[in-house]
Amino acid sequence: MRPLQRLIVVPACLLLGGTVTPCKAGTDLSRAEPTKEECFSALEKARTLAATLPTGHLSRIFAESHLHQAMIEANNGEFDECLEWSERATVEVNELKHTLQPGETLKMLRPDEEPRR
Amino acid sequence: MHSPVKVMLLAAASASLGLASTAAAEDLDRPEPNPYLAGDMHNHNTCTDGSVSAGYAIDRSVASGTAAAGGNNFNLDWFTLGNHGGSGNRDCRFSDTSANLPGDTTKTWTQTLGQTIDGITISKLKGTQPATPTNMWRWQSIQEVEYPIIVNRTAQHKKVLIEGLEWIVPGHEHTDAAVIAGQNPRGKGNADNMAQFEFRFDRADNDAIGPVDSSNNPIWTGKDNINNNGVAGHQKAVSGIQWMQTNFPLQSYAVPTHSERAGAFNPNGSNGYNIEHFRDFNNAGPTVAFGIESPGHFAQGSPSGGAGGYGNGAVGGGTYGMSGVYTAKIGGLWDGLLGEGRNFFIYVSSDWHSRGIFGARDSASTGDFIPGEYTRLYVPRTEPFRAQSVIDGMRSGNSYSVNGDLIGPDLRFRARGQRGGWKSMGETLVVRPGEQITLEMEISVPAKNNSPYTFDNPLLLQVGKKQPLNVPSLDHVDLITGQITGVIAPGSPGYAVPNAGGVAGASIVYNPTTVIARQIHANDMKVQKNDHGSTRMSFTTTFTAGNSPAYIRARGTNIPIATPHVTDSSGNPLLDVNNALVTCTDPACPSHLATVNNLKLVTFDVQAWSNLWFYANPIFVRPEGSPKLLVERNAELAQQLAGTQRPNGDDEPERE
Repeated sequence: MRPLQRLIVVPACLLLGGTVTPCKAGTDLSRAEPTKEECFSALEKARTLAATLPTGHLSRIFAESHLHQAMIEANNGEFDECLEWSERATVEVNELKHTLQPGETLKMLRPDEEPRR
Repeated sequence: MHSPVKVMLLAAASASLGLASTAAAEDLDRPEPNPYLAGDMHNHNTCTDGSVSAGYAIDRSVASGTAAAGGNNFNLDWFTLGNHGGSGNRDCRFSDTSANLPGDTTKTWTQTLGQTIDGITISKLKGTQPATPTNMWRWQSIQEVEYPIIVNRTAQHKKVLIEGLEWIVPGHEHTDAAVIAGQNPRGKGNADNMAQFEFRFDRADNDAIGPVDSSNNPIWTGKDNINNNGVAGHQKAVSGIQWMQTNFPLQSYAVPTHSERAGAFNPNGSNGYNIEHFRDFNNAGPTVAFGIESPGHFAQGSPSGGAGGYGNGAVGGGTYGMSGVYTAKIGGLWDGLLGEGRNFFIYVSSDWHSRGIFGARDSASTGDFIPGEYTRLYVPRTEPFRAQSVIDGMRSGNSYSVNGDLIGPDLRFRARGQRGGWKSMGETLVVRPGEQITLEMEISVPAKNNSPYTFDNPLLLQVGKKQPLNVPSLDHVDLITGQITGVIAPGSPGYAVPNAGGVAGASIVYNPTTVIARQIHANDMKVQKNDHGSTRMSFTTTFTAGNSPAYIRARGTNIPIATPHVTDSSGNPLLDVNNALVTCTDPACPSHLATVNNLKLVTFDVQAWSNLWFYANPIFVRPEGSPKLLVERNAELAQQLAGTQRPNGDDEPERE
C-alpha cells in the first residue's frame, strides 16, 4: 500500500466565516499526533524484527497481523494508532508469546476455502 | 454548587429473596414478544481501519443463518454504522485482503475512481487534497458510499440501519455519535447532517473545504480547523455537542467510547476524559450526551493485557470483567455521575475491526467480534421500530448491555413503592420515606451463545464448576445502590476530579456511598425452563426508602465470588489481565492462545467467552415532595421537544 501523503499538510485553510485562504507554512493542525516519519520508522523497525522469526512462527503471524493494521492506520493518517500497532508487533516478537506445539496447526480458512457445513 | 445533601438509606429488608410472589409466577407464564431489541452502534469497515467492506459488515451483523461464503450471521435487530472520522484510502465496497474472503481483495480509491460498483460511482476525491489525491474524507464517504450502502442493505434485510460515526473528538479520544435527521433509507433520504457533523467537529478531519455548491463555494462554512487539542479542543468538542443539541436534540447522540483507554485528560494533547468532561457534555447536550460506552475489542486480551484494546496506561490499567474501570468499579466515575442524578447511562458495542490473525469467516478471534456475536445492546421494542426508536431507547436509559449472551432480550428490571406503578431503568420512582420498595428482576439465560468452543470454561474449572463455553450460565446478580447528592455546578468543588492513567486510576472514588446492596445467587432465584432451552430466572426483593434520593442498578456474571484471578471476595471483577494467570488445559483449547512454558493461557477469545457480564441501567428513587432529579428534568425536556418537533421520517425503515 502506498503511504499517505499526509492530508494535514493542506494547501488551504478555511477560517471562521467561510473564506478559503492559504494556510501558513508549517501550520500544524494536529500537534498531538505523532508524525508520519515516526510512524514509518517504527513500522520499519518492527517489520525488520518480525522478519528475524521463521516464516510460519506463530509470533511472526501475530506480529505481521499487527503490522498490517499499523499500515492501514498509517494510510488513513492515524499515526498514533500506527505507533501503537507497531509497538504491539515489537512486543510480540520480543516476548514470543505464541508457539505451536509439535503437530499443532492454526485452524484458519484460506481465501479459497469454504468452511465445512 | 451542591444540592442539599440528605442521605437516603436504601435499607436492606429482611428475607424476601427467592420469595417470588404468585403474581410474579403468573407473569412468567404470560406469552409476549421480547420487550427489547438488540443492536450495535460502534463498528468499522474498510472506509477507515476495519477489515471488511461496509456491506459485508452489515450483512454478517443483521442477517440470520450462515453467510454465503461461510461464517455465522448474528441477526441483530438494528445496526448503527459507527466508523471513524478523518479519511481513508481504501474503497469500502471491498474487503481487505487480510479478511480472507473469496474473491475480495483490497482496493484503494485511486484504483476504482470512475467505476460504478454496487450502483455507486465515485468520480472524484473531494475537499482539500494534495496534488495526487489518495484519500477520501469521511464526510464524503458518509454521504456517497456508506449511506447508499445503508439504503441498499435496508431494502435487503428489512432491519433498522443507521449511518453513525465514531467521532475522533477534539481534545479527547473517541465518542460514538449519530445524527439521524434526514436519514430515511427506505425512502432514500440522505446522511448530510451526519456528514456535516463529521466535517465540522472531527479532530482527524481537517479538510478545509467540504462539499461545494454549483459555483464551487463551500456549503458548510465556518469550520474551526485550529482548536483540536487539549483544553481548546475540549471546548470545540462541547461546541459539537451544542450543535447537536441546538439542531437535532432528539435525533442525535454523543456517547464517549472506550473512554478510559487513552488515559486521563491531557490539557495539551488529545487523550482521555475526566469526569468533568462528561459533565460538560451532559450540560451542553442534556438530550444528546447521555452516557458512556464500554470498550469493545473483547478478544484482544493477552498475557500483558489488551482486552478491550486497553493497555496498562488506560485509566485503571486495563479492563475489569470486560468493562472499563469507570463503569466496573463500585463508586467509580459512572457512580459519580449517577450520584448527581444525571441522565447518564452505559452501553456496549463491538468496536468490530477484524478478527486479528484470523479472517472474517473464521470462528476464532484474536481481535474483535462481529456485531451481535459477543456484545448486544438492548433498547425497548416499539411498534413501529425505527431509527428514532433506537435513540429514544438509548436516551431513556431503559436499556441494558450483555456480553456473550449471558442473558437474553427479555430482561425485566423494575421497582415500585406501596402505591403506584412499576418504574423501569432510567425512570424515577417517587416514594415516601420509610415506604417499602419492591424490586423485581426476571431474566432469561439462553441455551447457548455464539462461542465456537464447547470445552469447559477454564476460569470456572478453578472453582470446580464444569460449564461449556458455549452454554452461558448465570452465577449471581449484584444490586448496586448509591445515594444522589445533587448536581454539581461547573467550577464548584468536586466538579473536576484529578484523574490518573494506569492502575492508580482504579483507586479514585467518585461516589463513596455506592455499595453492592444485595447479591442474589442463581440458586436463590425462581427458575423455569423454557421450551426452547433457555432458563427463565427471577427474584423479588425489597428495600426501604430513606429520606433522600438514590439509585439502584444491576449487573450479573457467570463468575462466582472470589474466583481466583477473576473476582475479588465481594464479587467485583479483577483486572482482566489476571485471567491470563489461568491455564487452558482442555485438549480442545485452541492453538492461538498465548503460551508460557508450553502452557496455554486464558487469553483472546477464550478469555472473552469465559468472563461474562451484563449491566442494567439504574432505576432512580426520590422522596415524595423533593425536587425532581436532573434525569427527570432532562426526560421532560425530551418530551417537550418531542411535542414541538416533527418526528424523523414517517416512512423510515421499520423492523419487519
